[in-house]
Amino acid sequence: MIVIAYDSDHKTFGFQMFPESSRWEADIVRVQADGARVAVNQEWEYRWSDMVRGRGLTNPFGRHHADSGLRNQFGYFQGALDWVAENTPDDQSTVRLEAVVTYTDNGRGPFERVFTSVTRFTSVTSEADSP
Amino acid sequence: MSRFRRLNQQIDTVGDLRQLSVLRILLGPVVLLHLRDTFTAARDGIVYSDRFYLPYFDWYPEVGPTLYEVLLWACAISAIAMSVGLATRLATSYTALFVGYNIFLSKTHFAHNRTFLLILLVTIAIVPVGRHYSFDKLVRRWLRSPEPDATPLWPLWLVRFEVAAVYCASGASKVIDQDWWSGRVLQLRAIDNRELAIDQGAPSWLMDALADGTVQSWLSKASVLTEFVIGLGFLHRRTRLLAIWVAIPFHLTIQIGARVQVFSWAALAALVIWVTPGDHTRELIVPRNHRLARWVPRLDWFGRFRVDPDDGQTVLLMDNRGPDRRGSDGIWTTLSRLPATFIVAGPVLAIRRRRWSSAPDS
Repeated sequence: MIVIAYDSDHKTFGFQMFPESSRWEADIVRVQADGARVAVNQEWEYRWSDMVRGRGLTNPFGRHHADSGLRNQFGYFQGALDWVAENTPDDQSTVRLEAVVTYTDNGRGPFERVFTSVTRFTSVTSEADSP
Repeated sequence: MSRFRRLNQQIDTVGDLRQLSVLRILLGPVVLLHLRDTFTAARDGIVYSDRFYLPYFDWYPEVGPTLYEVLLWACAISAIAMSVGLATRLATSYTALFVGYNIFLSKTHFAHNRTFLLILLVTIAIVPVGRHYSFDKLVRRWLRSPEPDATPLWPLWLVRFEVAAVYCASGASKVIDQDWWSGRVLQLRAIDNRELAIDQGAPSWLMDALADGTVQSWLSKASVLTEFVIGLGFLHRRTRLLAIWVAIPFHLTIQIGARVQVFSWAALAALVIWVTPGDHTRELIVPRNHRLARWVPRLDWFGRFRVDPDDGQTVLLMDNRGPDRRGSDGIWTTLSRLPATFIVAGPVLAIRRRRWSSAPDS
């Protein structure tokens, strides 16, 4: 189990304690049907920190430690984007969430990586994606 | 005798697993601490599914919020019952079952310290740990239906292997990681936390030293080596006491210096599994008015000594695993085998034996 765990994001039963000192932050936006991009911490009936708690995800907007390493953290972050996209029924305008994550890998970097949530409305996807 | 037959006999060996009863008592508060945030949220009517969670498997059964709250509070009760030894078999089984169920409800519930706790809980759930230090024992005594102390020892061998594997896995993961081995990981952590640590009272000279690459290079190697000393040291009788002695300050240090949730407490509690199983296998003959005659029965929580007061003048410790110990050697050896005194008596005994063995007429 210890060896198999090396292949998974969260290293379940791998017992790799304190694996990294990497840091990260995220700019998360809601991509609207008309293509507009609105930060999730502005003008929204939902609050990110009410929906996503713990595991270093409560406040991803400021630079902070990657909980149990970047791979673990990014696995959770992708899951959080998808969960929020799927559990905000009162939001009728957002097609998907996008995040630009800036991170350092044990002090190296900074690097950037883009994360995208699942698409919420199939009918307007093509509109949002069109140039 | 063939190796297979010897292994087969080893699996069938029975003995007194009183140390796992002590582990049962210690793990109750650790479970409550582990679920503290979940209890707090549940008190406000919030359960895991009200916020972001990430299931491991689609097929994993999920209960509704009300039933989850009922199961959660039942776990609080079972953890307390487990510690005091009330309906012990049911309490240990339910506690292990709920903690395991809860961990596998969501990937966000996973943490290495929690799976470590789960391993310990499963162990005490499969062993009859209510035979000592429990209400159940009092009830059985009252009903005059005592249970035998002897129980198969293989669960102890299994959990020992698993606990040693945790330390070795942790150490090995750091050896193969160049950033860890070079000290970079610890150095960055010290730099990142420097201001916060100084605000909380840490001396700035200490934080400056910890931010130094050379210092952290050596500290990293020392901490990896410590994990191997503990993990491998546990496995041999001769080095076990040293490993336990090193493990205590190691876990207290990381509890202070890092956010490890319940790992330190669970790991410190788990040290009891390294006590050699056996029911009063050591005979301690002490003069009647000697303090040991009174204190050893009180401090012998693992039931390792049979104390026989007699009219002689010298303490004599007879152990079928080693030579007889007389006088102060017997006293210090006894103290080094008692959980409340071994942390001091262990090093004292080691120094005394070293001096004794290097003496010209030894």
